[in-house]
Amino acid sequence: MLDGAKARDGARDAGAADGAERAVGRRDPGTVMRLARLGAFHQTRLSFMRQLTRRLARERWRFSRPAFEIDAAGVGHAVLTAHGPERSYSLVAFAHDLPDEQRSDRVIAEAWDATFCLFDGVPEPADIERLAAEVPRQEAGRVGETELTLARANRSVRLWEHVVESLAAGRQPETARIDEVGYLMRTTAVYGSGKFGAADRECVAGRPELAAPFQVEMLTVYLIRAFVTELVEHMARARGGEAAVGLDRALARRIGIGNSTGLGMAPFIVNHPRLFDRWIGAREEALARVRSVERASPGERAAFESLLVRSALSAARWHSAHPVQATRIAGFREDLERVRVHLEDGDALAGPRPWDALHRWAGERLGVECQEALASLMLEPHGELVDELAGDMSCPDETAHPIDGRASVGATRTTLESVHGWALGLDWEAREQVARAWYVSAEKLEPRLGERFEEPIAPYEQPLAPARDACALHRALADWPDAAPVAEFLLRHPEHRHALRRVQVVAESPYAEIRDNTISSGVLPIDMLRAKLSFFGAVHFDPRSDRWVRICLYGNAPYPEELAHPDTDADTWPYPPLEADGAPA
Amino acid sequence: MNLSLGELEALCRKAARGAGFDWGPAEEAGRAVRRLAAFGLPGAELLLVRLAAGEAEPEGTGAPRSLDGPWRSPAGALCPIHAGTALADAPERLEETARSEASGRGAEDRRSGELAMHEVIAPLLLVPFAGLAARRLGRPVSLAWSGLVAIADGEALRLDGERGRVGGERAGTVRCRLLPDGEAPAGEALARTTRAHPERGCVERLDAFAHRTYAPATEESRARGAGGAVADDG
Repeated sequence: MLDGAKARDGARDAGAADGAERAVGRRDPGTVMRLARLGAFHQTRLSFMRQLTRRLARERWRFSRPAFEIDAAGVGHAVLTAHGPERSYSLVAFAHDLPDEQRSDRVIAEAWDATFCLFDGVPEPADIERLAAEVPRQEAGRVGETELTLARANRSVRLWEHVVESLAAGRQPETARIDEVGYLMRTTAVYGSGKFGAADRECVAGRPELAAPFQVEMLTVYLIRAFVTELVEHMARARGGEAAVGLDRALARRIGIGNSTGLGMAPFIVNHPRLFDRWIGAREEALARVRSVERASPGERAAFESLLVRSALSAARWHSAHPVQATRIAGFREDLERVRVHLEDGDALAGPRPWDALHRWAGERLGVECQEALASLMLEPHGELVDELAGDMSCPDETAHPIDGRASVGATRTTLESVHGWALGLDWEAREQVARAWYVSAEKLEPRLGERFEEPIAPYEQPLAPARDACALHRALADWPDAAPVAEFLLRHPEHRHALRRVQVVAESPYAEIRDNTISSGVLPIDMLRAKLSFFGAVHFDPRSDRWVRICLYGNAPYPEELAHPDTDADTWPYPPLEADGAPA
Repeated sequence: MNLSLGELEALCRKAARGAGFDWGPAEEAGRAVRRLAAFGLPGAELLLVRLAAGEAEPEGTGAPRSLDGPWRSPAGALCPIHAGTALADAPERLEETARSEASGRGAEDRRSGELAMHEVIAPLLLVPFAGLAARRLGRPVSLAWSGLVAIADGEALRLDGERGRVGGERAGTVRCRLLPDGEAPAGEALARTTRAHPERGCVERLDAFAHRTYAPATEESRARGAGGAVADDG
């Protein structure tokens, strides 16, 4: 491995190696990396949206709106610019008049209510002209190196009409209806990192404000939310004229941006094992540090208890018609009540290592949904221990992990058995273990999950079954002596190169591999989606099937112009404020 | 065309897979093209040469018969991706040839201190793998063929000779060696770029290979594969 990587890993593991400094270690990957647990993750202090809003507030970013040229029918363009200490970024938004019958969240749609790109800097008129010809076409268009993202969004028809109608008539919309949906528009794709001609992440990853993962995507969505709120007020004025009123700011706060995420995102966490290890590893390191805290101060306990109540409020507003998730939400609410009762007498957090005690208590008594919520929640009072880990969640050379051909067959076998031991005993000839296959459809070039034995897809299978492939590698290695270098093996077996690289990756990155079968008849892709989306900071996961999920981003977050206000909480906004719950309807 | 390097890498990975490479070597092909393109070199065009040659010679992968030099392929011509990955996997072979030169022992080909690779398709594609070998060994690696010398140290890339020859489709012999201590690398250090500019025709042909990795859509897969056609009631 490279010297740079070695130094980095050494720094990362320093805490784990030093038992004297930290009483509790990170959780075992065999526990954490099960899909059922990954699929129960919640947002944390380290989430990419919160990293962004903390920075925007801390660095006092300024926001301007150089253009808002949208007509009464809602057609036109707008530019919203975020000015940082060194650079500016502009959301270029195109609003369209989309007939209802064309509105689809599927990635195969060809028209949207609004389309966007994030421009690196402040666009000139010539840029707008160029982008106007490309951005509304999305995948069919081409953007360039000055564009950092490409995105689109559709209205929530129900809520949009209600809000426009209410404001146009001089009334505020009903709080209950806002909470029922949670957003005025939902994005159906936010593409970054070189897609469709946009700048590669490597071009901007060296900028401090973009060093953390997905910051251009998170900034895009943050500015989209601000644009959408302006647009709905604009449309209300166009309809109601003098009678129209603006949206009450407290109500506006409750409105986030929805997002529909389908299978396209699931392969990401398999295809970026080292990056995924950084995300999980940072969260696990944070949890280990907090569980190792000897005493919680009264202030820290109060902060936790306050956010616990706000979590319960958030849970009360979390709805899903998906039978599995609906049951889990009901259980989660009950579990949160158990936690409240557990903490009621005041002693539970007063003892030694209170967070570790709470974590162990939860592990014995609560469901995974609430266990993971508490794991996130107990990080909140300890920003000084946790927040620095945010800087370790990127992986600059994700795709460039060279195989070490000098590694021995024996060492490879040992790592493989320790990571995939659970899978070596499975019957990979059994249909239910390999019932599914990941493939890409010729129609829209999107990842899909099919039935291997019912559809003609096996020849097109993507390498997204690491456990099965590792077991095949293990069988192929059986005839090779321990001392042989893997270079010799790979010369004979190029078909195992992909799996062998992953074994070398996971040897250095313990949380790189999902420890479940991603092609079994029972796999739930929504678990993979949620694992990723929780790191974005998403809340209110609402699976619409086993393969796509709707979420809300930036609900209750301060708007750009509110960030600079000294009373604004730019950090814990994912927990809804208590006083706002009874806001006027 | 004007492509991001990420797009180029993805296109080439899929094209190589579509042409019959296993996933691991296909990933190597994508990365190799990206590294060349980052120095403004025509990696995509040369991958296309390799993929087209593979169609004509379906037998064998074009990997070297053995890691012992000189390298030849039982398939007739060496594939730069398979030979390249072997070089990156076994860089110590270069140290061994250098040692055997110093001691005057070893087979005829080794005495020169060079690892010879015979009949290499699109030899420029070997260069990114020489860079990986150089990084592993901590010393620059030189590749020489057809009047060109490329020297990779794992970061920078130097090229000596006639630039017009980088697109060569075949080399009788590529000579690979470690740069001895004290020998200054020859040639001009290439500037880095963040975009690739392959011809549209090249992209289209790679795309045609890539399309072989996509499953033809059926009504069933449309309805089921993406998660069911749930009406958008939002």
